[in-house]
Amino acid sequence: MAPSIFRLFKLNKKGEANDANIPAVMLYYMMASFIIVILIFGFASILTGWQNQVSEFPDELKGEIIALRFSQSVDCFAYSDPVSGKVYPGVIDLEKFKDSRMDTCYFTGVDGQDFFQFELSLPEYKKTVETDNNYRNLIDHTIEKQILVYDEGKFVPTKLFIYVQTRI
Amino acid sequence: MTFRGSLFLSKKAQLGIVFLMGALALLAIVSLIFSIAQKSGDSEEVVKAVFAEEVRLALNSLISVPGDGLIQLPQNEDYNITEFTVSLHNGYVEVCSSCEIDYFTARKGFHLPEDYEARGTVKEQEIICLVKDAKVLRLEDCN
Repeated sequence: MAPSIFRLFKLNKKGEANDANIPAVMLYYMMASFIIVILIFGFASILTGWQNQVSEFPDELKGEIIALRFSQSVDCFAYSDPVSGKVYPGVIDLEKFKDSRMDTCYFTGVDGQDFFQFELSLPEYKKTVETDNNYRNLIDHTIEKQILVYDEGKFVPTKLFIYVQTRI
Repeated sequence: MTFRGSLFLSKKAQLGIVFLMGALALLAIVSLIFSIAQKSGDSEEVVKAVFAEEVRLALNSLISVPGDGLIQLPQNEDYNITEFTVSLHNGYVEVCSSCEIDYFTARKGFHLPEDYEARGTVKEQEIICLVKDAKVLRLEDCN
Protein backbone atom coordinates (compact mmCIF):
# COMPACT_ATOMS: atom_id res chain seq x y z
CA MET A 1 0.00 0.00 0.00
CA ALA A 2 2.81 2.41 0.96
CA PRO A 3 4.55 2.60 -2.44
CA SER A 4 1.32 3.46 -4.22
CA ILE A 5 0.56 6.17 -1.69
CA PHE A 6 4.03 7.59 -2.19
CA ARG A 7 3.48 7.50 -5.93
CA LEU A 8 0.11 9.21 -5.48
CA PHE A 9 1.71 12.12 -3.68
CA LYS A 10 4.79 12.15 -5.91
CA LEU A 11 7.41 11.72 -3.25
CA ASN A 12 11.05 11.97 -4.29
CA LYS A 13 13.48 9.06 -4.26
CA LYS A 14 14.23 9.60 -0.58
CA GLY A 15 10.54 9.45 0.19
CA GLU A 16 10.40 13.14 1.01
CA ALA A 17 7.30 15.21 0.37
CA ASN A 18 7.73 18.70 -0.86
CA ASP A 19 5.59 21.82 -0.52
CA ALA A 20 3.86 21.11 -3.81
CA ASN A 21 2.45 17.85 -2.37
CA ILE A 22 0.83 19.41 0.69
CA PRO A 23 -2.32 20.55 -1.18
CA ALA A 24 -2.63 17.01 -2.57
CA VAL A 25 -2.56 15.57 0.98
CA MET A 26 -5.09 18.15 2.11
CA LEU A 27 -7.26 17.44 -0.90
CA TYR A 28 -7.10 13.72 -0.09
CA TYR A 29 -8.30 14.33 3.48
CA MET A 30 -10.99 16.78 2.36
CA MET A 31 -12.34 14.26 -0.13
CA ALA A 32 -12.11 11.47 2.43
CA SER A 33 -13.98 13.57 5.02
CA PHE A 34 -16.65 14.45 2.45
CA ILE A 35 -17.14 10.82 1.48
CA ILE A 36 -17.27 9.74 5.13
CA VAL A 37 -19.91 12.38 5.93
CA ILE A 38 -22.00 11.21 2.96
CA LEU A 39 -21.58 7.59 4.08
CA ILE A 40 -22.71 8.43 7.62
CA PHE A 41 -25.81 10.26 6.39
CA GLY A 42 -26.60 7.48 3.95
CA PHE A 43 -26.19 4.92 6.67
CA ALA A 44 -28.42 6.90 9.03
CA SER A 45 -31.17 7.07 6.42
CA ILE A 46 -30.86 3.33 5.70
CA LEU A 47 -31.16 2.62 9.43
CA THR A 48 -34.22 4.85 9.76
CA GLY A 49 -35.87 3.09 6.82
CA TRP A 50 -34.98 -0.29 8.28
CA GLN A 51 -36.38 0.68 11.70
CA ASN A 52 -39.63 1.77 10.06
CA GLN A 53 -39.72 -1.49 8.14
CA VAL A 54 -39.25 -3.74 11.17
CA SER A 55 -41.74 -1.80 13.27
CA GLU A 56 -44.39 -1.90 10.55
CA PHE A 57 -47.24 -4.42 10.77
CA PRO A 58 -48.81 -5.92 7.63
CA ASP A 59 -51.50 -3.68 6.13
CA GLU A 60 -53.84 -6.67 5.78
CA LEU A 61 -53.75 -7.24 9.54
CA LYS A 62 -54.24 -3.58 10.37
CA GLY A 63 -57.12 -3.28 7.88
CA GLU A 64 -58.82 -6.41 9.16
CA ILE A 65 -58.62 -5.29 12.79
CA ILE A 66 -60.08 -1.86 12.03
CA ALA A 67 -62.77 -3.47 9.87
CA LEU A 68 -63.88 -5.74 12.73
CA ARG A 69 -65.91 -2.90 14.19
CA PHE A 70 -68.18 -2.70 11.15
CA SER A 71 -69.86 -6.04 11.82
CA GLN A 72 -69.18 -6.34 15.57
CA SER A 73 -69.92 -2.99 17.14
CA VAL A 74 -73.37 -1.71 17.89
CA ASP A 75 -72.01 1.78 17.25
CA CYS A 76 -71.36 0.74 13.64
CA PHE A 77 -73.63 -1.68 11.76
CA ALA A 78 -74.12 -4.57 14.20
CA TYR A 79 -77.69 -5.41 15.04
CA SER A 80 -78.93 -5.01 18.61
CA ASP A 81 -82.22 -6.22 19.97
CA PRO A 82 -84.36 -3.14 20.65
CA VAL A 83 -86.01 -4.76 23.68
CA SER A 84 -83.16 -6.50 25.50
CA GLY A 85 -80.37 -4.35 24.07
CA LYS A 86 -78.38 -7.51 23.33
CA VAL A 87 -75.82 -7.01 20.57
CA TYR A 88 -75.45 -9.61 17.82
CA PRO A 89 -71.84 -9.45 16.56
CA GLY A 90 -71.58 -10.58 12.94
CA VAL A 91 -75.16 -9.54 12.20
CA ILE A 92 -75.56 -6.39 10.15
CA ASP A 93 -78.69 -4.35 10.61
CA LEU A 94 -79.76 -3.29 7.13
CA GLU A 95 -81.49 -0.25 8.58
CA LYS A 96 -78.13 1.02 9.83
CA PHE A 97 -76.26 0.28 6.61
CA LYS A 98 -75.92 3.90 5.44
CA ASP A 99 -73.10 6.37 4.76
CA SER A 100 -74.26 8.56 7.61
CA ARG A 101 -73.76 5.63 9.99
CA MET A 102 -70.29 5.03 8.57
CA ASP A 103 -69.42 8.65 9.38
CA THR A 104 -70.19 8.11 13.04
CA CYS A 105 -68.40 4.75 13.09
CA TYR A 106 -65.18 5.58 11.28
CA PHE A 107 -64.46 9.11 10.12
CA THR A 108 -60.95 10.21 9.16
CA GLY A 109 -61.82 13.80 8.23
CA VAL A 110 -59.83 16.25 6.15
CA ASP A 111 -56.45 14.97 7.32
CA GLY A 112 -57.40 11.38 6.64
CA GLN A 113 -55.54 10.80 3.37
CA ASP A 114 -52.92 8.69 5.10
CA PHE A 115 -55.39 6.52 6.98
CA PHE A 116 -57.19 3.37 5.92
CA GLN A 117 -60.40 3.91 4.02
CA PHE A 118 -63.11 1.34 3.44
CA GLU A 119 -65.98 0.48 1.18
CA LEU A 120 -68.48 -2.08 2.43
CA SER A 121 -70.60 -3.92 -0.03
CA LEU A 122 -73.58 -6.28 0.33
CA PRO A 123 -73.92 -7.47 -3.30
CA GLU A 124 -77.09 -9.45 -2.68
CA TYR A 125 -78.80 -6.31 -1.44
CA LYS A 126 -77.01 -4.03 -3.95
CA LYS A 127 -76.00 -1.76 -1.10
CA THR A 128 -72.66 -0.11 -0.47
CA VAL A 129 -71.36 2.34 2.07
CA GLU A 130 -67.98 3.99 2.10
CA THR A 131 -65.88 6.10 4.38
CA ASP A 132 -65.65 9.85 4.01
CA ASN A 133 -64.28 11.83 1.05
CA ASN A 134 -60.87 10.22 1.25
CA TYR A 135 -62.04 6.95 -0.28
CA ARG A 136 -60.86 7.01 -3.92
CA ASN A 137 -61.62 3.44 -4.94
CA LEU A 138 -57.90 2.59 -4.87
CA ILE A 139 -58.39 -0.89 -3.49
CA ASP A 140 -55.31 -2.51 -1.94
CA HIS A 141 -56.98 -5.62 -0.65
CA THR A 142 -60.41 -7.09 -0.06
CA ILE A 143 -61.83 -8.81 3.00
CA GLU A 144 -64.66 -11.25 2.42
CA LYS A 145 -66.88 -12.18 5.36
CA GLN A 146 -69.73 -14.56 5.82
CA ILE A 147 -72.29 -12.66 7.88
CA LEU A 148 -75.98 -12.44 8.66
CA VAL A 149 -78.11 -9.50 7.65
CA TYR A 150 -81.08 -8.47 9.76
CA ASP A 151 -83.73 -7.39 7.29
CA GLU A 152 -87.37 -6.86 8.18
CA GLY A 153 -87.33 -9.24 11.12
CA LYS A 154 -85.32 -11.98 9.41
CA PHE A 155 -81.70 -13.08 9.73
CA VAL A 156 -80.40 -13.80 6.23
CA PRO A 157 -76.93 -15.32 5.58
CA THR A 158 -74.95 -13.42 3.00
CA LYS A 159 -71.48 -12.16 2.12
CA LEU A 160 -69.99 -8.85 3.08
CA PHE A 161 -67.11 -7.49 1.00
CA ILE A 162 -64.84 -4.93 2.60
CA TYR A 163 -62.59 -3.10 0.14
CA VAL A 164 -59.58 -1.60 1.86
CA GLN A 165 -57.66 1.42 0.61
CA THR A 166 -54.51 1.73 2.69
CA ARG A 167 -53.41 5.13 1.36
CA ILE A 168 -54.02 7.55 -1.48
CA MET B 1 12.14 23.73 -1.06
CA THR B 2 11.53 20.62 1.02
CA PHE B 3 8.71 19.89 3.47
CA ARG B 4 10.11 20.62 6.95
CA GLY B 5 8.70 18.69 9.92
CA SER B 6 9.84 17.20 13.19
CA LEU B 7 13.51 17.23 14.15
CA PHE B 8 13.48 13.54 15.02
CA LEU B 9 11.53 11.85 12.21
CA SER B 10 12.35 11.53 8.58
CA LYS B 11 9.87 12.94 6.06
CA LYS B 12 8.90 9.41 5.04
CA ALA B 13 8.14 8.51 8.67
CA GLN B 14 6.07 11.67 9.11
CA LEU B 15 3.97 10.85 6.09
CA GLY B 16 3.63 7.28 7.33
CA ILE B 17 2.33 8.56 10.68
CA VAL B 18 -0.17 10.80 8.92
CA PHE B 19 -1.51 7.85 6.93
CA LEU B 20 -1.51 5.65 10.01
CA MET B 21 -3.62 8.24 11.80
CA GLY B 22 -5.94 8.37 8.80
CA ALA B 23 -6.26 4.60 8.86
CA LEU B 24 -6.97 4.64 12.61
CA ALA B 25 -9.62 7.34 12.12
CA LEU B 26 -11.20 5.25 9.38
CA LEU B 27 -11.16 2.18 11.61
CA ALA B 28 -12.79 4.20 14.41
CA ILE B 29 -15.52 5.43 12.04
CA VAL B 30 -16.18 1.94 10.72
CA SER B 31 -16.43 0.49 14.24
CA LEU B 32 -18.72 3.39 15.24
CA ILE B 33 -21.01 2.64 12.30
CA PHE B 34 -21.08 -1.04 13.23
CA SER B 35 -21.88 -0.29 16.86
CA ILE B 36 -24.71 2.07 15.79
CA ALA B 37 -26.06 -0.62 13.48
CA GLN B 38 -25.93 -3.21 16.26
CA LYS B 39 -27.65 -0.84 18.68
CA SER B 40 -30.38 -0.08 16.15
CA GLY B 41 -31.13 -3.79 15.83
CA ASP B 42 -32.47 -4.00 19.34
CA SER B 43 -32.90 -0.32 19.93
CA GLU B 44 -35.47 1.33 22.11
CA GLU B 45 -36.81 3.22 19.10
CA VAL B 46 -37.88 0.03 17.35
CA VAL B 47 -39.49 -1.37 20.51
CA LYS B 48 -41.29 1.94 21.05
CA ALA B 49 -42.67 1.99 17.51
CA VAL B 50 -43.71 -1.68 17.66
CA PHE B 51 -45.34 -1.23 21.06
CA ALA B 52 -47.23 1.89 19.92
CA GLU B 53 -48.55 -0.15 16.99
CA GLU B 54 -49.51 -2.96 19.37
CA VAL B 55 -51.50 -0.54 21.54
CA ARG B 56 -53.22 0.82 18.43
CA LEU B 57 -54.17 -2.69 17.25
CA ALA B 58 -55.43 -3.60 20.73
CA LEU B 59 -57.47 -0.41 20.82
CA ASN B 60 -59.04 -1.10 17.43
CA SER B 61 -59.86 -4.64 18.60
CA LEU B 62 -61.49 -3.33 21.77
CA ILE B 63 -63.65 -0.90 19.78
CA SER B 64 -65.16 -3.87 17.98
CA VAL B 65 -65.98 -5.70 21.22
CA PRO B 66 -69.68 -5.42 22.09
CA GLY B 67 -69.73 -4.52 25.77
CA ASP B 68 -66.74 -3.99 28.04
CA GLY B 69 -63.30 -5.53 27.75
CA LEU B 70 -59.72 -5.52 28.93
CA ILE B 71 -56.44 -6.26 27.16
CA GLN B 72 -53.11 -6.64 28.92
CA LEU B 73 -50.06 -5.35 27.08
CA PRO B 74 -47.45 -6.14 25.90
CA GLN B 75 -48.58 -9.48 24.51
CA ASN B 76 -44.98 -10.22 23.60
CA GLU B 77 -43.21 -10.79 26.92
CA ASP B 78 -39.81 -10.10 25.37
CA TYR B 79 -40.62 -6.42 25.22
CA ASN B 80 -39.41 -4.45 28.16
CA ILE B 81 -41.60 -1.39 28.49
CA THR B 82 -40.60 -0.46 32.04
CA GLU B 83 -38.79 2.65 30.83
CA PHE B 84 -41.65 3.92 28.72
CA THR B 85 -44.47 6.32 29.34
CA VAL B 86 -47.56 5.35 27.36
CA SER B 87 -50.34 7.91 26.88
CA LEU B 88 -53.66 7.53 25.20
CA HIS B 89 -55.37 10.55 23.68
CA ASN B 90 -58.46 11.02 21.53
CA GLY B 91 -56.99 10.12 18.16
CA TYR B 92 -53.50 8.89 18.94
CA VAL B 93 -51.30 6.86 21.24
CA GLU B 94 -47.85 8.02 22.33
CA VAL B 95 -44.96 5.94 23.62
CA CYS B 96 -41.89 7.77 24.88
CA SER B 97 -38.93 7.38 27.17
CA SER B 98 -37.49 10.89 27.11
CA CYS B 99 -40.89 12.46 26.69
CA GLU B 100 -39.67 16.04 26.60
CA ILE B 101 -37.92 15.35 23.29
CA ASP B 102 -40.55 14.96 20.59
CA TYR B 103 -38.13 13.22 18.20
CA PHE B 104 -37.94 10.17 20.46
CA THR B 105 -41.71 9.73 20.76
CA ALA B 106 -43.51 7.02 18.80
CA ARG B 107 -46.97 8.21 17.86
CA LYS B 108 -49.73 6.23 16.12
CA GLY B 109 -53.10 7.61 15.09
CA PHE B 110 -56.51 5.97 15.17
CA HIS B 111 -60.15 6.89 14.69
CA LEU B 112 -62.78 6.39 17.33
CA PRO B 113 -66.50 6.05 16.69
CA GLU B 114 -68.56 9.11 17.60
CA ASP B 115 -68.97 9.77 21.33
CA TYR B 116 -66.05 7.49 22.21
CA GLU B 117 -63.26 8.78 24.39
CA ALA B 118 -59.68 7.58 24.84
CA ARG B 119 -57.50 8.65 27.76
CA GLY B 120 -54.95 7.64 30.35
CA THR B 121 -51.22 7.64 30.96
CA VAL B 122 -49.12 4.86 32.42
CA LYS B 123 -45.50 5.36 33.43
CA GLU B 124 -42.77 2.77 33.78
CA GLN B 125 -44.88 -0.38 34.28
CA GLU B 126 -44.10 -3.93 33.23
CA ILE B 127 -47.66 -4.59 32.13
CA ILE B 128 -50.34 -2.09 31.23
CA CYS B 129 -54.08 -2.56 30.83
CA LEU B 130 -56.24 -1.19 28.08
CA VAL B 131 -59.82 -1.12 29.33
CA LYS B 132 -63.05 -0.55 27.46
CA ASP B 133 -65.76 0.71 29.75
CA ALA B 134 -68.87 1.51 27.69
CA LYS B 135 -67.63 4.25 25.33
CA VAL B 136 -64.48 5.10 27.26
CA LEU B 137 -61.14 3.48 26.41
CA ARG B 138 -58.74 3.83 29.29
CA LEU B 139 -55.09 3.03 29.69
CA GLU B 140 -54.25 2.08 33.27
CA ASP B 141 -51.86 0.34 35.57
CA CYS B 142 -52.94 -3.31 35.92
CA ASN B 143 -52.12 -3.49 39.66
